[in-house]
Amino acid sequence: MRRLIFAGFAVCAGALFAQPPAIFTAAQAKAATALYQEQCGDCHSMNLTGGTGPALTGDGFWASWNKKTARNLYSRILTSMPQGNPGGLTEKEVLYLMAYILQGNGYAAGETPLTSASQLDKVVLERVK
Amino acid sequence: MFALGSLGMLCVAADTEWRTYGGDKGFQRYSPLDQINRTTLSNLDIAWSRPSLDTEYKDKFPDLNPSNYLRATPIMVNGMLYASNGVGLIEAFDPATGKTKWIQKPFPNSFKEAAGQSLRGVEYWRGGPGGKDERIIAIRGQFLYSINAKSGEPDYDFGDRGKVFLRWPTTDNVYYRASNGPMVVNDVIVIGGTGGAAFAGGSGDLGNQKEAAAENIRGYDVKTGRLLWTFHVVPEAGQPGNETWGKESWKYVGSIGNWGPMTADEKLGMVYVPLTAPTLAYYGGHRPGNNLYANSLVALNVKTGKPVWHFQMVHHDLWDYDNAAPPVLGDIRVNGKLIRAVMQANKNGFLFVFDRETGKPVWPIEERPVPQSTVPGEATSPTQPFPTKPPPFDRQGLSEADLIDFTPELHKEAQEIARHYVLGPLFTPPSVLSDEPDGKKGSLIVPGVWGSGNWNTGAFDPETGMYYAVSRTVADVFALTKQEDPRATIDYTIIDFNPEPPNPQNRRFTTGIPQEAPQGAGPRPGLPKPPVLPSGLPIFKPPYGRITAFDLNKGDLVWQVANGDDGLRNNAALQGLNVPPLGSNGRPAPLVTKTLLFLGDSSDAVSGRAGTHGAVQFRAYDKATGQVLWEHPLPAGTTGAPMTYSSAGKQYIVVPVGGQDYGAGWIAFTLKSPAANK
Repeated sequence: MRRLIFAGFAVCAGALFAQPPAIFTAAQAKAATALYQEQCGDCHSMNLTGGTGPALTGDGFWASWNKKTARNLYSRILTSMPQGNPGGLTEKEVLYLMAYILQGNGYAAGETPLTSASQLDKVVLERVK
Repeated sequence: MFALGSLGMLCVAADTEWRTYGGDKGFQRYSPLDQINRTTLSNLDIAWSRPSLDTEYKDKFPDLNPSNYLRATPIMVNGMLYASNGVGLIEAFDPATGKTKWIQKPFPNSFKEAAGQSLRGVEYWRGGPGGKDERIIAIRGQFLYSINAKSGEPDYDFGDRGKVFLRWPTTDNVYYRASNGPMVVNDVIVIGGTGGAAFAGGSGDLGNQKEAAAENIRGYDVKTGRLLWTFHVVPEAGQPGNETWGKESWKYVGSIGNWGPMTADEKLGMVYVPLTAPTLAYYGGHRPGNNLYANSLVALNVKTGKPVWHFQMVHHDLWDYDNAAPPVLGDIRVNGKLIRAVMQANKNGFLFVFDRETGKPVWPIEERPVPQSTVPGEATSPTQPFPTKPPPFDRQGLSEADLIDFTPELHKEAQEIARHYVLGPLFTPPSVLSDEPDGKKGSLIVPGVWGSGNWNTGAFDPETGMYYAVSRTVADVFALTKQEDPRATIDYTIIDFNPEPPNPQNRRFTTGIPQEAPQGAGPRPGLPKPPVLPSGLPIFKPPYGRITAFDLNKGDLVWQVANGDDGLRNNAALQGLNVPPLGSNGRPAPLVTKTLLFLGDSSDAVSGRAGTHGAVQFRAYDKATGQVLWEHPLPAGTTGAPMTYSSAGKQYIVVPVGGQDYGAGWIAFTLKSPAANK
């Protein structure tokens, strides 16, 4: 039942936002640059296009994440990354990395910072045209 | 005799186990089970499926969201399946239903400790008084664990309350990394792994710094977790092989990890360790010489960790031609003589076969001249080893004759692309990226860094002496550029890599959020992707994935078929053409039974720019001919090797699956009606 409700939220969110919601600030995405380079870039490449690890932008990324919630991506990173030390990133670090990845996929920054994973629950990932 | 037969018919058949993730310590991936055979295949269906992590556990930690790349092949011992689950915890489950019996408890019981990734295998060990001490040995994250096989409780007398810290003593505090499980040989746990340097996630394949820790092999006491020995993959001063590192490069070079599964002959007391390339293999001007034990198969005495023999498959590697495949052990009969053999596939497409006790090649391995590098400062090995038997199992090198030619137009497109690259036979070295508008864009190398045979290749049939290679055909662009960045410590490397200044305080263990991006840290492009035609097709002919059967009693290739037929068949440029099976370009692993060879399409969640997206097939081949006898759809591709066992008289086949858009889990097949179990 919980899943059904969750799915309902997702549909609503997708319909509400013709443009992806602005859920992070530009300062967050910028601040995450060094963290991304240090923890992610060696495998996913510095420009998100993938290397030994999968791409975090483009067709490869969207084949995995289109229509999934941002919380799902957040929890995947929190659980399984970085490769050598899964669970080694704090929740705050993963929120910043989400800002970095979303901005790299064309999501616009806004005024409200991303401070809690619950803010990602209703956000359905969709490719920016 | 009659009485025994009657008694046997009254009893339920004993379970047939799968005691290591490779089937046996020799990684034959073979089972004599035959309930599932060509006659009964039509009744083979899914018995159960289950997620990579028990759902109750996920309820406990809602943000626990395991990777879809589930590497783990379960073992089956004493009526229980054991595997490294979706987050790398040892999970025991019922062989007939897949239901969880217990899960290793993270300590402390927190999300941070519960997070993790699966490894390919766990090991079972039994010893102590009366053989009552039964343990599951596994690697997870930075630790080696020993837990009670019955209860799942830690073995508190092992290491530090059940675990041993594995991190290498690197200058940049990079994490230890493993993909496979440990190997337990008699009473010794042997550990490989990677993580000698920070860059490229610890694999040492990318970057512009040549310094790294050597990823040494370690032996631990199975009862106590005490370190017994260390084998130095870069020989230290005074050790044999040290002289193969010119310019005193042995002092700082590293990587050379054991990335593929190792194997063991417990009677001989030997463990066979396949080793990989040195750090940043594409340029070696700073390391003149053959560079032992890079790209070597090393047979170690498991009690001492001393090498008994070794063979180097690639001298002075410039191609990242790892020994990534398991060195499969099996007995063959050549010219009437029984040989206890070890069979090592290399990424370069050769299978090297030796007497595993002495290291003597079964068939001559010739040193043949190879193309020489034109890169300043490079000193290519003048020769490389070429086995005279068996023949290569995948495409080697690239020439005009290899370019795709289904239509004149496609061939012309391929020619136009190919002319921009240096082409040549196997061991054509990397070249410098030309500044000229019409100059060469580097060397186009086949096999590329992800091919041909990787950890997935290799299965051996002890009844027939057949070895099955599973490979993919990929190209890579090896274009070197002069490193002008003052922070670079290597003269040339394959990409324009622009790292941050080395700073041990700022690597790997930072926990805070930097407030500003570091100045001057520009974009770092990834490994160049191989060129493709405008339609997306490779520039060379298929198949792009294949299965090769060798008769190792003779050293001959018996059959070779395309493995499946991936999504390229739907490519617009091929419509209306009579195109042969293209082969699935992935890394699936085989399973051999009494009469069949099982192999599934590979998942797109498997690293390596390959795999098939979405629903795929799991197939049974006639192992004698390569003919497809059966196939069954899977919701996503295979992410690890299949295994088989019998439980309560029924044969099961279990395979891990997962996909970019499909959560990972295990699927079990069995015959769907008892009447068919004949």
